[in-house]
Amino acid sequence: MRNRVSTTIFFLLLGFLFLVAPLYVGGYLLEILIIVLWLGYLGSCWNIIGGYAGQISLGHGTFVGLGAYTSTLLFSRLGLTPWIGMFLGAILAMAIGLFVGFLCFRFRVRGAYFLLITMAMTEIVRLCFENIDFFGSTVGLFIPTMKGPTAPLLYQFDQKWPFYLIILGMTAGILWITFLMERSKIGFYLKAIKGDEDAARSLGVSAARYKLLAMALSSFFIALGGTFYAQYRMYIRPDLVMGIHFSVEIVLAPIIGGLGTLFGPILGAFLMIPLEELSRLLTDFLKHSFRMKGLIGLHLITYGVALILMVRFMPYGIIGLFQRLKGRWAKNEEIIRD
Amino acid sequence: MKKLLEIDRLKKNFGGLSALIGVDLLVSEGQIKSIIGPNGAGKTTLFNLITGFYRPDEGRILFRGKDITGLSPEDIAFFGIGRTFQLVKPFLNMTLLENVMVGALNRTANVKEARKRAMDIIGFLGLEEKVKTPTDALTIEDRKRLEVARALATSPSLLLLDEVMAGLNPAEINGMIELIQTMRNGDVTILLIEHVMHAVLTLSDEVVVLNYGEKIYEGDPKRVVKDPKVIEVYLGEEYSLI
Repeated sequence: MRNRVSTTIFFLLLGFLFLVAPLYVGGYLLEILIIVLWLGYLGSCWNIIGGYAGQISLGHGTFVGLGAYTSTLLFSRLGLTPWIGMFLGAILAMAIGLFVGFLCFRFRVRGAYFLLITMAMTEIVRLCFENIDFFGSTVGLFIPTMKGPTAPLLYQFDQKWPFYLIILGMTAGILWITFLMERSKIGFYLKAIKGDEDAARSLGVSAARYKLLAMALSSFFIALGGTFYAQYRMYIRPDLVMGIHFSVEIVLAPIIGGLGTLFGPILGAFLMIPLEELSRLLTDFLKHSFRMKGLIGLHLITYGVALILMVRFMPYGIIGLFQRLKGRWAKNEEIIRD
Repeated sequence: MKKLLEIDRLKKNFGGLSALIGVDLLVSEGQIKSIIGPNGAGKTTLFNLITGFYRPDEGRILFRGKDITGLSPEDIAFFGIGRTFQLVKPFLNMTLLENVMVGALNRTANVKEARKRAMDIIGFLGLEEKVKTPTDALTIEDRKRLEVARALATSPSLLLLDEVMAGLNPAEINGMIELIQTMRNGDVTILLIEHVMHAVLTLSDEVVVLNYGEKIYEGDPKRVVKDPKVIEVYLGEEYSLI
């Protein structure tokens, strides 16, 4: 009981700190915070199907892209506000997710084969968008800028902090949904499917149905993140919001943070983005102070090495590391008590 | 006695291999029935057919008079047939309690209720002290017990146990025998595949012997050890002396 109270206080405090953060940080730091939260949000959405249900999808970029493109096209062609457009995009993404999911789960496509199919899906969709002029092809789409007091009604703000609050709210929302899911029958069933699908089915778990449910939730919510990105950047291009490269980036944060854990994706994003920025800074530093040339891309190498080291030493992510340390600590305490 | 499970001329081929060639089987309510036979006789195939993991090529499976042939494993579990796997399949990503709760959620959507039912069953199987143990740290005996607990948590009226004694020492086997007897008294009908003859003879009301997908004996366990055909294909000379 006391434990629960202190946990609640901790999260209220943390939430408050995040809420007032834009009052104290701005510019570059706020930009980083927004991107961290955005990737954390996307990772949390992916985590429902990839982390909890254990169906590793490398195609979630598609859903982000569909969200971004649907709301953008509806706005620039029909003038529909992205506040509504984002839900239409999410419904479209969910429909595609259910379609691919149905085919895979109906015919028992599992593991590496599921991964390959989702990968193929995202590349097919990216290539379509890159080659059809209506979608802006490789040039991408700009969102017409609106000035004046009605801009917020069109999901447009000339400052960063409203975007920060929006993505903060979205992240809190998906964490709340995941939290509720984890404690419900759905959460238990998804974990069981991940643990052993045959055993789960023998216990009455409709594996295909629950995987489809996870896919629907995951693709719907992640698409909302696509609209956010489009409105924040006012520009989208297929290789930025869909395709295999972006899809891998979505998956990294949950893996680094801890698959199938509530806070894993967020923690992963908080480690990943600063690491990426740091390796960029380090490269700049080397370039300027030693007048070294030909260092383009060095930051990707340092970033890559850091990722490899993390996966090597934290195979179950940050959360897994915490749990292991906690376990060791508890064991030590036991020894002392004995 | 009321018929619980009726199997009618069940056939299953895998490519050119005939795993089962027209097996009939009848399990009555409240029985403990054992299936024995050499490796490759089709015992586990029969379990997989009953629980919907395989589809039979021919034949019918009736449960409480209802045709369940070709239904999905999850539907069959819901109708009240539970099973364990020969190679235990614990959910390693969940605690022992959570494992059993997945089974209990078969009958309720309420997690609190499922936790209560799971705790009862864990107590019944004597696993209370292991509730918090990570599943991958459990001994073989505990894993076998977990497998039974999970299946039992689904509230089955028929429980299929696939070699739950394999790999256990004699003391552990006696514990498992006791457990199965208690389960039967708790209104669960049991069909088991077993190689440990001591357990088969102690527990069974009836024994079925399969050989190359064919039923070669069905009936009294006391007489099975004297049946010349069964001795020839499965038991060997040693048991004929009993």
